[in-house]
Amino acid sequence: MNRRLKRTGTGLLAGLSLWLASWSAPAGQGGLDTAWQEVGYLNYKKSASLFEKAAKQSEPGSDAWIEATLGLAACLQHRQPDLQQDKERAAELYDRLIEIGAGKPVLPLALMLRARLADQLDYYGDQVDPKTALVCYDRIIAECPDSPLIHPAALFRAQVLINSMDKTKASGAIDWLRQWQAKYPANPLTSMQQMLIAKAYKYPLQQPEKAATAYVAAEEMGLPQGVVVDNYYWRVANLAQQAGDTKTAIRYYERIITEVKRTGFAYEAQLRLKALGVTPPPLFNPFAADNQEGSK
Amino acid sequence: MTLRKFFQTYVGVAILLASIIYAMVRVAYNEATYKAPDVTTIRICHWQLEAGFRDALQELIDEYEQLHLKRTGKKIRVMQLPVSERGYSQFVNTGLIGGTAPDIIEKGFAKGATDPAYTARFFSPLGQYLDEPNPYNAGTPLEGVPWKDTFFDGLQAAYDRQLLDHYYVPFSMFTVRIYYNRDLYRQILGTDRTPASYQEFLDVCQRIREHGQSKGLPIVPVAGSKYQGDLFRRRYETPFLFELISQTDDDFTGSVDAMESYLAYRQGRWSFESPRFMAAWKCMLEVSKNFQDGWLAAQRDDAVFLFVQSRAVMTASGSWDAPSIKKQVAGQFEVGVFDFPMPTDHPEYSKFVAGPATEASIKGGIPWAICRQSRRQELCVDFLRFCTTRAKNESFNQSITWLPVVLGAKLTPDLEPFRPRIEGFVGDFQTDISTPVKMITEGNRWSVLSDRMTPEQYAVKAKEVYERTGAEGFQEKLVKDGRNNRNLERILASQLLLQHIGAPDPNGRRDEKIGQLLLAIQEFGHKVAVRQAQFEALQKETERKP
Repeated sequence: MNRRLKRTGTGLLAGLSLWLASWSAPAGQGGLDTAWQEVGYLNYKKSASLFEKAAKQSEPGSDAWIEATLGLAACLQHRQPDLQQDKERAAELYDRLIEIGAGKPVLPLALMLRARLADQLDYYGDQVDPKTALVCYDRIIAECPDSPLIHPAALFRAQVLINSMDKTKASGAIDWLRQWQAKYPANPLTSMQQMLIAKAYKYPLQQPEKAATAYVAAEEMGLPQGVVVDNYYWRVANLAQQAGDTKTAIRYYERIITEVKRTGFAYEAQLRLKALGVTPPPLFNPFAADNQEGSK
Repeated sequence: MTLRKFFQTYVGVAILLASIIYAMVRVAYNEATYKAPDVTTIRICHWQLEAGFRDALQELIDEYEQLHLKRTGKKIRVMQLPVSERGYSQFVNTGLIGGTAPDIIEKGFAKGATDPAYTARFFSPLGQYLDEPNPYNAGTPLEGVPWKDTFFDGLQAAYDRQLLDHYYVPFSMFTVRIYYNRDLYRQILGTDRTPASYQEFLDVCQRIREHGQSKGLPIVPVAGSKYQGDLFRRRYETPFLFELISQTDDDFTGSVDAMESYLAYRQGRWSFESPRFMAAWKCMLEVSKNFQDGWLAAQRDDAVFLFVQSRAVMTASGSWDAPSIKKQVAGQFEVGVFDFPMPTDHPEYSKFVAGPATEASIKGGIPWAICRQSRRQELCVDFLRFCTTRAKNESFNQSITWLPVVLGAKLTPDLEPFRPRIEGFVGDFQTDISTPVKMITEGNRWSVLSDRMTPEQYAVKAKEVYERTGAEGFQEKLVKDGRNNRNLERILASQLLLQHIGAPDPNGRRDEKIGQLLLAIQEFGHKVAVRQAQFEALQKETERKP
């Protein structure tokens, strides 16, 4: 009886070990696929261990190693809680990828993520490192001219300078962005770059009239997806009014009422128009039964 | 063994056995009904235990099941899983983590259903479906209109600005109003006319109090608790601040958050002791004086009970309570509803109050999300589409007397007073710059409302703690905001990495998402940088002063 029990127990334990082994074993490309899937779910914690296993199993410098190391570095950068040692290790891994990445597709992304790491406060006591960030953005622009990441790099580069709140640097960033727009007039981030110029005019340069003009120009370039239109119009109208550009202010207050059908700003826009001596358009009531027919 | 002894010994076992048998029968019944080989089942869970909700939803379900059978020849069952608010979080979280979550989940309460990181993991983005027309709208004025544009707000409020997609579809919307006992009101005041102004409201309250005193009846004007107190506070305090919001909204968002108001405070642009705040708190005190004695210790339900018992003429609540209140008073008295009268023509307050807050940007409620684990994604979408045609949304909301969210869906006449008001001001003025400020101002606010502290005393306390802890609170918020920005960075990194490895992009929206993330990071980063610079400048200026 005892022997039989022992045998059954051993069998069960063996089965359990096999199951655990199969569960914990990295599954090569399958493991990487799962890791990327988890990255898609923002589950950096789980994917970090999968990338770590995949990196250990592959030849350093190989494509598989580069892929796994990039994934691991990103997971360390973004998994929570944000720990100093994770961020330092992420920086080391990015630096290694950048070192061996010349001419490889991984270079612009490794540089971009390294720059974002430097450009962010991650943990208690962390310091922003704009110098490293600027070097990385400049390298993307200089070394990877065919990468789609050059436009975000240009945007971030200007952001670093403008967000320093130094008037000279901000003016320099505006000029630099204008040159970029002239060089790449059809770049997908051109209106976003223009919006950044507008922000720089507001702060630190404190020139509301130029800020309003830049926002208007950004809209003419085509507002990017995700812009909340009534907030945008409200901002332009207020800036213009602050700068004494009544004509633009009136135009944007009117647009809030006539173009944005469901906005909390409409009533106040009407009052502002009245104060500016203009008869405002009537309010659209999206909740009135006769206004609810919908349109294509 | 005596019968008594037998009963004492075996009653526990009997109950246990009966419970087991009942559970087995129930499981077998459910299995037979919902897991029959020829039946496809989808499960939908919610916490709406209010009167009428389950019946209204069941009506939609029954119609959908029949229609589906007729159209496809296939049987389906949509199974409601109502769960109380107390257990909802555990039910949803364990289901999501364990892979046994229902197919459609009412989004809320549970971390798994609200936190953006979990939302991305556990719920399906609905953007691609919402951009397509709802096929059930064929032959109606909404035919060919993208599904999202058939909702009153184009589902703008349902758009997740962190995850950059839609993750739910709403069924209803809600507003807050004053409910009144029409019979009692008429009996005391001799009229049906509800107060059109704040002064009239106070006069009505005065007459109700006098009536109660003269007749020796325990009748109060307003049934209150902290819940109702807060509803009144929100409606009466903020309108006093709209002008201040407009003056201090430096980033033109329409609202002034705690950091923006702190900077304005340091620049000497407002103070707690200003006539504006004094008037706001005095006004709130005037209102709360009309609540029953000891209202501060009462629960929300106690106030409703007082109202239902005709011991209070009025109370305040949202439209979500309309069916429950009406059901409770059925056969006793008629319920009327009116909007909060604003002190716009008051001799003292009107210089601060130009109007109420707008309800034009109201959000849709009862948010249904589809679980990513569900194997019946398309069926779930189809069911939600069926429920959100104009006719179905109208019938659902009419039967539960809630406000519909689909364009053109009509309100029942008794819901007219709940129709959102578009005239009004936008914004909020937040002052909770630090945890001590939040705790002390919130705590003492109840003392003001219950007349245990004067507005002047409250202002002195608020000022003291605000000035003592504000700078530290500001810096903490700055760091916290910077960390919140990290969430955007996490999503951006995920999208850039997936783009880099060439991961499938089923909706073809990755570039759009990356663009939106870049924009959000730009907005956020600039805001934090501006505030930091302004704060440092103010600190330097303070240090320079002798």
